[in-house]
Order: sequence, then C-alpha cells, then structure tokens
Amino acid sequence: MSEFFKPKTVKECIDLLDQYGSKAMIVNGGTDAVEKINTGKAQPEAVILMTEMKELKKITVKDGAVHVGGAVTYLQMLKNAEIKKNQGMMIAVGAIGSPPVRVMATPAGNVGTAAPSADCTTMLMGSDAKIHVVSKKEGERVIPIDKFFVKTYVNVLKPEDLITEVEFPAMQPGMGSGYVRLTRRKVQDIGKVLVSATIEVKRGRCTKAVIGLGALNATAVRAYSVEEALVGLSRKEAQEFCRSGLPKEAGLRPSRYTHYKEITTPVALERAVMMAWDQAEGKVK
Amino acid sequence: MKDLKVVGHSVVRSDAFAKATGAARYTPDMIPVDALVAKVKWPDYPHAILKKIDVSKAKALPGVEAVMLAKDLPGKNGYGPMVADKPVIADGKVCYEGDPIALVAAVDEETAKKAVDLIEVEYEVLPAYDNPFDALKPDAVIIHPNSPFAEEGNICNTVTVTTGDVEKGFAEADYIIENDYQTPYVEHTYFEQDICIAEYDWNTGGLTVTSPNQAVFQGRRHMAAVFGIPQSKLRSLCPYVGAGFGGKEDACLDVTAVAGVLALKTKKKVVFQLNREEVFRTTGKRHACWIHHKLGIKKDGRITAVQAETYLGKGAYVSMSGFKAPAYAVIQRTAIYAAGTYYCPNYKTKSVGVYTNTPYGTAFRGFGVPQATFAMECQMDEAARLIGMDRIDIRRLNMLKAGDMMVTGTYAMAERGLGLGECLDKVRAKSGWDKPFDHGKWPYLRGRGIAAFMYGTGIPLMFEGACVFALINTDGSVQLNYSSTEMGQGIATTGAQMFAEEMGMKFTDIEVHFSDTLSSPDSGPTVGSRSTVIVGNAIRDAAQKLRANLFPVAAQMIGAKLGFTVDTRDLTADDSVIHIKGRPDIGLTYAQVVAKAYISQVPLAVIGMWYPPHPGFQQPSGHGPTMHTFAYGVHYEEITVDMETGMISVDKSVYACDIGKAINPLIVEGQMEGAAVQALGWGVMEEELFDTKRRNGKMENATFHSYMIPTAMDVPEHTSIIVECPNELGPWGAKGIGEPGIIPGAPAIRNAFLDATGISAGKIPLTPYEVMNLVEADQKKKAEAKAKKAPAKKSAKKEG
Repeated sequence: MSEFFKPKTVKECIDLLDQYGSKAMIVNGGTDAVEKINTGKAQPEAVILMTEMKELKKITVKDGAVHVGGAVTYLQMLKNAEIKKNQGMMIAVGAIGSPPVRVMATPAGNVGTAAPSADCTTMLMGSDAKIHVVSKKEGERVIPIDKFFVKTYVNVLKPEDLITEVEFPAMQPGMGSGYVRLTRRKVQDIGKVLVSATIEVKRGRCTKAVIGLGALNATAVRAYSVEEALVGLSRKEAQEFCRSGLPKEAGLRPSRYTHYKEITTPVALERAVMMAWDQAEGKVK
Repeated sequence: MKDLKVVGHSVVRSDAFAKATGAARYTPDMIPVDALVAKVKWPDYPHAILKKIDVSKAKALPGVEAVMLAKDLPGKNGYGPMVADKPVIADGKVCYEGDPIALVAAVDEETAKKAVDLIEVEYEVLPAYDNPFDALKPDAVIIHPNSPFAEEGNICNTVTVTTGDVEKGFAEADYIIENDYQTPYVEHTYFEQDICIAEYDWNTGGLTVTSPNQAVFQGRRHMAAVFGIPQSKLRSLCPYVGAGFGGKEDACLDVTAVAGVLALKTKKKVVFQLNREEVFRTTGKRHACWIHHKLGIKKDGRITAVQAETYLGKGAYVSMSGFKAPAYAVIQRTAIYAAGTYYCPNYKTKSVGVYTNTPYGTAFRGFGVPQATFAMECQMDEAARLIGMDRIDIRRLNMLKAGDMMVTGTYAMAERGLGLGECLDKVRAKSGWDKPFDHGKWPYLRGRGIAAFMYGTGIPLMFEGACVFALINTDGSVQLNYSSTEMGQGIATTGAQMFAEEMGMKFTDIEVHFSDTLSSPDSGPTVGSRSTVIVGNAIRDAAQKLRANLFPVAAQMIGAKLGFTVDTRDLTADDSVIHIKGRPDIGLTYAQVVAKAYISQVPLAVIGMWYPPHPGFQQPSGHGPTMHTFAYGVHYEEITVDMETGMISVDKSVYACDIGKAINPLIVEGQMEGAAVQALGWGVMEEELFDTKRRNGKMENATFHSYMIPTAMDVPEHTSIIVECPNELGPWGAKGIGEPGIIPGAPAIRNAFLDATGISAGKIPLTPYEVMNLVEADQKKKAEAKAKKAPAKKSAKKEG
C-alpha cells in the first residue's frame, strides 16, 4: 500500500523525497508513472503528486532565457505567449499524446522519465536546455540537458532530487526553431524518428545551430557534428549537408525500423533545419 | 404499396439514451461482489512440449479456491465454433501463446495473480511458425500430430473451385497479369475486453454464463460438452456488447470455458476477464493471406480467366477457418471471391489453410472476402493501367449482370438485387472522377483509387435460419425475443422497426429482449450480415402470425360496433390502431383487441421463423449455391504520400453500398463509416507482428501502444451513399451491410498509392516502413534501367 502526498511547496516536497528516497515516486503528469503503478511494474511506498506545487507552475523569461517551472503542464506551455514564439517547441509539445494527456503531462516529467523517444525532451535537446534540480542535501544545481541522460529511462538524478525548472534560450530576431517527427499515424504515436533544431541566421548564413535527435539512440542526443558543419553554410548548402547522410551521433540499434530510420533521418533533419531557417529569416511568424 | 411508416426511417436507436448517458449495462457492470476471480497460467513459448507442471505452491496459497490442470476437467477437453479442437487446458503441449496451462480461482485478483506466478512449468521449446511457408517446410514440426482436424502435416484444409477452362481462358487473353499479394494478421480491437461471469445453479446442477458473445446458442452447444452437462442446463446470456467484429463468436468460448469449469469445480460464482494484452495474445485474428493471382484480359478490358492460389496463416486451431463439409468457412470464401464482383468464365482457385503458432484465425468483418477481393481489385487497376482504360469503366464492363454465371456455377439474379452499376455511377459523380485531379508535387504525391466488392449474406452450408418469439401483452405492449446480439450494429432497433411496420404498431410499443437462451429460440449467430435479412424475415413472420390471430378479433369487435360483419381484409393497422382501411377513426387499439383476445382463447404468443434457400456447395468442383443474395459496393479513396518519409494521409473517402433496403438509414451510414475507418487501419497501419527470430515467435505488438489503429485525426472527409436494389427474399428488400463495409477500403487506398506513385504495392498495410521499402526498390529499379541504357551514351561522351 502506498502513501499519497500532495506537497504544496518545494521544501515540503524535497523533505518527502529525502525521507523516502528510492521508495518514493513523483507523479508529475503521470503518463508513465500511473501506467507503471497500474501494471504493478512499480510499487512505491510514497506517491508524490506535483499538481499543488504552485511555485513551480510558472513560465517566466529572465536574462534571455525561458524558465518553465517543474509543474507546468504542456497545455500551459501551448497557451504561453513566449512559448508560442518557439515554432519547434510548439510543434513538439502539441504532438505529445492527446489533449487530455497535455492537460496533465509536464516537460519536467518528460525529462525525468528519460524515454528515448520523448518529443519534449528531444526539442529541449535541440534548444540547449538546462535542467534545474534541488535536493535537501545538495541544494540547487543546474545540469545541461546533454549531460542529463545516462541510458534508456535512466538520468543522472538521484532519488532525492526534484526538477524545479527547465530553462532554454528565448527566441530572438534571427533565431528559429523546427521540429519533425516521423510516425505511423497522425497523432498519439511514439515517433520513430525525432529531430529538433534551433538555429541562428545572419545575412543568409547559419551562425549557430543546436540539433537534437530522438528515438534513434538509447537516449535523446545532441548532433554536434551537424551543428559544427552547419555554421557558415547558406540555406541551400545546409539543405544539401543535411541530406548527405546520417549524423554520426545517431547510434541506431537493431530493430524492425533500423533501415527506415537510416534513410529517413536525413530527410527529417533537413526539414527541421529548414523549418527553423524559415522562422529565423522571418518567413513564418 | 403502402407507405412505410417505420421501416426506412432513421428512428432514434432504442439503446441511444442508455448508451449516451453511460447507464447501459455491459457484462463487466454485472460482476457479483462475491465472485471468485479466475486467472490463467499462459505459456512462456508459443510452441512447446509441457514436460512438468508444478502447482503445489499455488494450491497452498491462502485465498486460492481452485487450481485446475487438464486432468481435472469435468467434460470434454476441446471446443471450437466449428470443431472441438481447442483444449480448455493444454494437455502435454502448447500450440500458441493462448493455450492455458493451468487455471486458478481465488478470492481476489491479487491472490489469483500471485498463484499463477507460483506455478512452475518446464518446457521443451519447439520452433514456432508465423507463416504457412515455414510451417510447410519438409522438416517443420507438425503442430497437431495425428489430429483428425488436419488434412496432411500442417495443412488444415484445402478448398478448390474450377469453372470453365483457365488454360483456354489465358490462351484467349491478350494480357496476363500475374502478381503476389499479402495481407496481415489483424486484431479486432473491440472496445470491450472478453469476459465471462459463470454462476453455478444449485437447483439444476447446471450453469448460467454471462459474456459478450455473438452466438449464445452456438456457444451453448459447444460449451455444454466441456462442462459435461446437457445443453438444457446451461443458460447463456449476453447483455450489450462493446463490439465484436466477428471476434466474439469465438473468444467468448475461451473465457466461458475457463470461468465455467472453475464455477463447476468450486460451485461458486467465478469471473474471468482478459486484460488487453491477453486479448491481443490469446484471441482470434483475421487470417493473414498470401495470394498468387493470375488475371487474363482482352485488349478491350474483358476478363478471360482468373487463377489464384491462396495460403492462409490460420493460427493454431480451426476456429472459423473451416474444415470439411459442411463446415466450410473463411478458407472457402477466399476460394470463391478471387474474381471479386466480376463475370469470369474461366476460373480456378485453390485455398490452403495452414496451421501456424499464432492466435487462431477467426471470423473478422468480411470473413475472408476482404483478402480475396484485395488481390482482385489490385489486379483490376493493374489491368486498367496496362491497357489504358478508365478504372471505373473496366469495372463496369466486367461486373456481374443478370443471368451471368458466377464462379460457383450459379447465376446472378436481378431479383436478388444487382446494384454495382449504380454504385459505380454514384461514386463517379460524387467523387468528381471525371474532373482534373491534382497529383501534387514531389515529395508529396497525390492519388485516387477505387475498389468494388460483393458479399453474400448469411452463412452457407451450416445451420441457417432463424426463430423468434413474440408476445403481445394485455396492455398492447409487445416483447420480441431473439437470440441475436446487440453489439452496436443496431439489431435491437431495426428488429423492432420491422415488427412495428408489419404489425402497424408504434415503434415504441415494442421491447426487444436479446441474446439469452432462456428467453428466446435460436435465431442463429450474429454474424455474416445475416440478422437484418434472416432474423428480419422471422420477425416479419411472427408479426404476420400475431396479426392473423388478432385481426379476426378486431373484425368481430369493430363489426359489433358498426352493426354488421366486417371482413379482416377490410382492416389495416397504423400507429397501434387496427381500423377500417381509409378510416383511421373507425378502429380499436391493439390493447383493446388483446383484452378481448385474452378471454377468447386466442394465442397471444407466436414463434416466427424463416429459412433461406439451402446452400449446396460441392468439393472439389466448388460449384453449388452459396448465399441467396449479395450486397455490392464501391469505395473511392484519395491519398497523399510523402515519398521521403513514407507517411500516407488518407484525405477523402466516398463510399456507395447497395444494401437492398436500409431499414434504418442512419444506422446503415454508421456501419459504412465505421467500416471505412476500419478499412483504413487495415490498409495503412494495422498488423500483428511475431518475433520468430529473437523471441521464439511471441507477439511483438500486444498493446495499443505498439499496435496502431486509426485515430479521429486519421479519418478523412467521408461521404456515404446508400443504394437500394431490392432482394426479393429480404424484408422490404434488405441484403445486409455489417460485414462487407470493410472490404474495398484497403485496395482502394493501395490503388490510390499506385495512381500517386506509379508503384505497384503487393502488401498491406502500407506503413511508412513498407512504403519506404517500396520507394527504395522502385528507385533502384529505375536506376538500374537507366544504367542499362546509359553506358553507350556515356562512352560516346567520353570519347568525344
């Protein structure tokens, strides 16, 4: 039998996490947690629900960065003026589950679960995001998202840690983002190929690129090789480069879909980068 | 002819309010609080010898009331909707993931689960086959050695049809089109999971079983032997069903067998419910088919011959695949529909059902006809493309016309309704077929496709016929009882409509009691789109008999009022009033007439019945009547293909069906819409996959997370068109629509894909993965062709 908690403050929550450690389970949306509890895959002693954590339910902009609180839902994100400027993020978040799922599910929960094919996580990877974490013993710390994941469903967090916010750069003029997911049906499907891109363009050339790949490796990954190669390229050159082959960071695992991923990832990459490019050049609002 | 007052009108379904408000009761709503919970120990391998089973720890667990092995069964250890070949509990061997090794009943679910986990099994693992070709290899392990239900080795049964002379037909052809087609194993994905509540009857020593069930009498016939009790002591009932699509003609037997034997053993109430994963892994599927199809045509588009060889992956047991006469079923339908809905003078088919270690192939909307039609409709588009003929014109040219001999040697009759031409014309007009079409530009290519179907109503060569019970009460209300199941298709509504129309009663005066062996005679299984026609005629017969009983009483009463003799032929009935023709004001209500009849020794209860012309399908000729009438239809689909990612969007659907007569047009449209969506799933995303390489043949995608079905967002803009070419033997001309709706959607999508891309796909579903394989193969082929042509030019350039 599990004990059920609905903490109202971060302090209250990290005290509970400190007390129960690995026997606690945070339900921050519940898309994965509730399924695990229902099917008996997880039998936590303490279930900690995040819905009352008012202080973590805000989206703010500070020093050129968007800070999404640890209990902010996807629905809140989709309605937020600042998030609306981020084309890729809107597409990624809008593709998650279904409308009822997006009412409950959260980006912090998504990152915490560490699924390899998570939409929001992949977009955050392609946004150079940082994860803010707090625990009773270690206090606050900030972990860049590319150092956050260890393997499938495992991240660097300890059982006592609480994700308090997810931070990523706010959109500026000359910046654009894109997100592409390849799926077996139009909605409510886990993507087989996920690509996110945030780029900066000046005078027709790419000056900075951040690329995230999902559903290809054991975790979402950054495609540094693509990022480096894109800098200095024109739109057409960038398009050609994306098409030229599978990014070397894509470590495809053997499955029924390996070959499909191999031949379609370059297409998805091209489309995500071009989508971002168009936004950076003001072709989309 | 009298204007129809109830039939042909979209009256509000009698179950609409209860279902819309959530008040409607389904089997899971009826679980008694004191019921024991049953669980099954399933095998870890689909194909294995059971070397040792130890249930001692499970038996010792507090709260466990029974643990049963094959040796503990009270009756026959075998059942099935056609032959009794599927064991209640595996005896020495398992043939697929759904063979129970042991059954447990415990006080609650948690205890039952724990007990199952405590059962220890030692296996000798055998190779598992997920397709007929591996199962037919010379060194393949025989799945059912020495079985009376196997023709030879792993072949269950073969059905052949030969008409005319195919060799001559191909010799006469200007073109021969020969291709391979493949369709997948498909899950029914009905909403309501399979469940049975079994209750021991202390008065009779029998059982009452409640389950979502498409055939209460058929189930009772098979289950009584399993329970070792006479059929009369087994009551089988079925409340509203959360959809069946054919699957609940069979899966209900699986859950009933488990709950029933445990209830007999414990003499308590027992509930057994499959969770979704168990539904995927253990219940029946659409047969996967591998079809080699050869079509001969003349330059003018006329068909000269069809030859087809079909191998069906039929899973571990016979189920509804069919066996020897008279139990021909799915395998037979694949053999008789290989020329689709067209006149074909020279025809030769062979369909072979092969045992595999997959869930048993069972009835699934269309019953083998969709697979056979898929191949033929793809071939028709290949033919049209080859000779440069319009795709609707080629179908119109070849469609069966009155007097044409069908491939089974019988003749197409106008009197039974032949509406394909009208369907083709209406779809042509509504879809804008003759207007210019935008084929898109790379990588988003667009195409449109068309496919036609015919589908015979009812079940050939088995029991076919229906009896219903009708009783008029002294207040004038009627109870109409039949054993058909209300699984969303609306038979409780349309049955009442037909009775009301025939009686001249108000629709609301009739209450239908359905699917309970205690309250009605056998009206047959709820399958094969048979209920509207066959049960409908029995309902009509009941109404006519009741009228015949009551009209003389009414004539006497009205005559007494008027002071002279009134003949029954001067009377009619409308809105529950029997009156003088043309004078609704001079009459009496049914309630008034029944009050008099009740004290005049006039029977107020009747049995209505109807039997269609008896089929007489012969083997090995494949000749003889099968079904007395056929529904027809034409489906138009418009799609966009993303050539770089393989993703297909179905954008528009126009669908016309000739169903003879729509008893309730809104319900008919619902059937057509639902079937169109299900067809879309079959065409582009649904397939059951088995991992024979790494996981001993276990199912790979046994969840809705990995098995895709269409969402509302995948559904295109859709138009349904009802065509009514009446069947002289159907009630008001009806022919049935539930099953056939699914048939033409997938080939229409495949043909749209051909139109968009120029690529001939042989396999469905057209998943992104499959599409990219096709695109890649096509590009390779084109590059090779180019390379063959190019060297001469290249070398010329170099030299230059």
